[in-house]
Amino acid sequence: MSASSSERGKVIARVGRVIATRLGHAIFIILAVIILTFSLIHLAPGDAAEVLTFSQGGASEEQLAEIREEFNLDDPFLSQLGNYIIDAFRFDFGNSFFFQQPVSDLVLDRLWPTILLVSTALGMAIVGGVILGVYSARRPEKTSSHVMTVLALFGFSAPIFWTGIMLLLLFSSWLGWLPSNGMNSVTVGDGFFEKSWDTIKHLILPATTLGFFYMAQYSRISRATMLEVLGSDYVRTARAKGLKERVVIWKHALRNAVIPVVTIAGFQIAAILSGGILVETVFNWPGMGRLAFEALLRRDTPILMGMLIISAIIVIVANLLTDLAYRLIDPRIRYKT
Amino acid sequence: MKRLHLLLATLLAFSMVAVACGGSSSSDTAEGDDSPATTQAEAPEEIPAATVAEDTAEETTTTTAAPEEASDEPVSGGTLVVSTQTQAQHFNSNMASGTAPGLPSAQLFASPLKFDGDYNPQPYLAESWEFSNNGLTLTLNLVDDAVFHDGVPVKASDVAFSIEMNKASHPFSTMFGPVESVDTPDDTTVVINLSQAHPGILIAMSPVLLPVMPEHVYGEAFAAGEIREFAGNSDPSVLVGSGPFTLNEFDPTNGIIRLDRFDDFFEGPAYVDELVIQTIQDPNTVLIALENGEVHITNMQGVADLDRANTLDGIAVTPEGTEGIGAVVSMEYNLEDEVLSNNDVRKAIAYAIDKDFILNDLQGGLAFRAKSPIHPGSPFYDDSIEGYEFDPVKAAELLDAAGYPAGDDGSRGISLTMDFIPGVPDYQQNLAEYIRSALDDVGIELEVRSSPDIGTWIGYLAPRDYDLTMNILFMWADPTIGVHRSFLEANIQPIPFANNSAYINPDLEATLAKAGVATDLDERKALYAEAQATLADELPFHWIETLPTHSVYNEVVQNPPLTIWGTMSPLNEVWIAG
Repeated sequence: MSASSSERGKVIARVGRVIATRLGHAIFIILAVIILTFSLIHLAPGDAAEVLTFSQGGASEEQLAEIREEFNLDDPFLSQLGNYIIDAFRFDFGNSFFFQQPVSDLVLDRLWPTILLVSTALGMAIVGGVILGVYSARRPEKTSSHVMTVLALFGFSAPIFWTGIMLLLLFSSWLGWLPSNGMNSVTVGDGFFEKSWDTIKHLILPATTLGFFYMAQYSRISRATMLEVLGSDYVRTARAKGLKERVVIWKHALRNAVIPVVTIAGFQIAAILSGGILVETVFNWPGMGRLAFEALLRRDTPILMGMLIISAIIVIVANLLTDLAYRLIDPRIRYKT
Repeated sequence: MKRLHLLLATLLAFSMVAVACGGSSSSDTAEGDDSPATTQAEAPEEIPAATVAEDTAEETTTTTAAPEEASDEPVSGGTLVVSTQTQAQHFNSNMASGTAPGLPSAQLFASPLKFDGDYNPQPYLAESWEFSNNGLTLTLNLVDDAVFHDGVPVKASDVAFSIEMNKASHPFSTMFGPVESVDTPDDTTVVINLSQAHPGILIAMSPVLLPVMPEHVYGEAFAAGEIREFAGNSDPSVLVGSGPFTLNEFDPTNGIIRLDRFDDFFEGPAYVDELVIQTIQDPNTVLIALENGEVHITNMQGVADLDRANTLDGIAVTPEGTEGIGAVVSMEYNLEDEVLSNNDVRKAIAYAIDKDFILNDLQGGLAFRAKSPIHPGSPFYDDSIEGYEFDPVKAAELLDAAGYPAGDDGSRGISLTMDFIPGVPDYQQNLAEYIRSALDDVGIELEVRSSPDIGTWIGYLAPRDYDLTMNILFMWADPTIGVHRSFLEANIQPIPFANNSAYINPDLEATLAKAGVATDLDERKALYAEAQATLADELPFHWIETLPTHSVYNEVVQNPPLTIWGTMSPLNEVWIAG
């Protein structure tokens, strides 16, 4: 009993050290993200005041000076950077030049649509990819397996925006089954079920577009690992014990085969968020990706900085959780550390 | 509650992806079929002929035809959805121009005048108007039954207040610059006293340029110098307008502006119940939404997008409705550059560029030739001026004469950079790339410099850190508003849309000044013709084409807005066929 407690304590201490080390790294990474991004944005010619007035037909020098003063754009670069770093570590990302609202409010407003889109796409990719991979691995020489291989290669190679436009043309333009843009129709009522159903209909195409790309990847990974696992001793033992093939595949083999997929999915959060920018733009989905894209075009530095910092935090946390989960799932990693 | 919606949607989405595709899109259309169809006693203006696409691969011209099954009787009800690519920050067009604030502002606020498709002023809040013989006084006679959205009557003092706000706040200072004072002898008479004759003031009284705002709501903030921060510019609970629609919702982060019909509008209530202005960035998505009826009207410029729109059933495409903005694509020379300060070099460059290739091949026949800063749709445009048609031999001769003979390898020792406005490849980057190739053929080396965003490009343009740049300048219906500014010596400033070429010609300035105050239309045309001839000879810019902006709309839209201001004119007379 005491040996078990001692072992548990050591594991907790190891996990604690891992978390502390990662948090230390995270602070340096975020600091580097801030300094690098802030510097690059300021190195570009022009400033936000000129962009703001561009869409309004221009402005006089006096009006430009007023805007620059309002947003402290005339302060020395180091002063602006220093103030920003101090504010950022207090979670104050300033006000958007364009929207004139706190960046944190704008990002939080866009966070849920992005989480909805990314989580749905990721769920579809993992579940669909694993099912396809397992099916393909069970009969690797059959025609259906080859068809899936070709489909996976196609899904992996096709640019996300192209896939999105093709799905739009098929399901929205030609068949007219699904709406083309936004998260809700402009005429939808406020009823709970009506609005939820409307959101689901709007979610299908963007989530499928984003999910299809990763589903193709995960089907290839799960196929390869499943082929390896199906040839291992413990699977042969399970079959020798007379277990049904369904149980062997879905209970025993799959648990090991799915680990690489989950691990890679965790590490791909950053890539999925990046893909989300394209998907959100094509489908006019009101998420963080579209906000970032618009902010980039408008030189809305506070939004860009806030989005990058929050994205960096999301990626760091996702990687940390994936790393910890991997250690918990795979005993070899846990005891080697 | 909102998050609960999203959570439920997430959970349902996983289980319903495979089965959810069976719903009809009809519920997603914005036609509002549930609204009772009632016939209005007042008929709308004559329905303009719509141009409808021909389904041919190469034929890009449009033909006119009335929409099929269009009813002659206007129908009330439904939601009209207008899509735009630019997101409004506010709806006060007295502070800024542009389609983003202009579109909603023209719905929320009425103005003294509106304009038809031929630049003719039409009665709006002013039922009549008259210039004095010397052109120094303009008298407006207002209707007596107009009210603001809060029920307070629209009075002459509100018009005077709006002019004052515009003069103090709008970047287009020429619109009301000559206004010395505004008298309001009674509630329906506005007397505008001018320091000089100013015929362009009528255009400046369009809905998109002079929204009439209630002094009792906006006056205090304006007097305190806080009008730019005032909530009434965009907050539905504060904004009080005078136009055919009231502001119901402004959701800038989702790009939705929702307006409701104002039943007490002095011209009678609008036909549609609701007007939604939706920001959609991707033109492909807009086209599909137009097909589906999720969007009803938009403006488009992309060549490929317009080509596709031309092939769609039930979608009308027309260049009408975009003349007022008057966008002209040009190549701007930096006259402080040693090489480009030589007029022969500028002319040689102009001769080296094949405008027919640009119009017919690069732009697919969708744009029109423009030889001057005045839009070809304007009554002041003169097509007889020198257009520098493609002549590479003449270009070579001019370069030889300018002291840049061709070497053995054909190079003339001229190396220049070309910038362009990012984000609009069809009529900026593609043109810049073509011009690089065309100039290479006459021995001029041109490096095309890309800017990642508008700010970077402005950062080159404003301080004249460029040699050549593609540009798009907007005329805003009258040359005094959008043309003069590019050629005034006093306007050589480090800001965009000023005199960024550093062009100085006192004689031209004098001609422009005379044209700006000429009250006789023919005299005004002659003066602008003289100015265009001078500009064509001196070439501070090389004007190439109009921006191929087209109005694109679903044919369920009846009486579409095809005036010079298009969707930036009041949409109260637009209705949706059942």
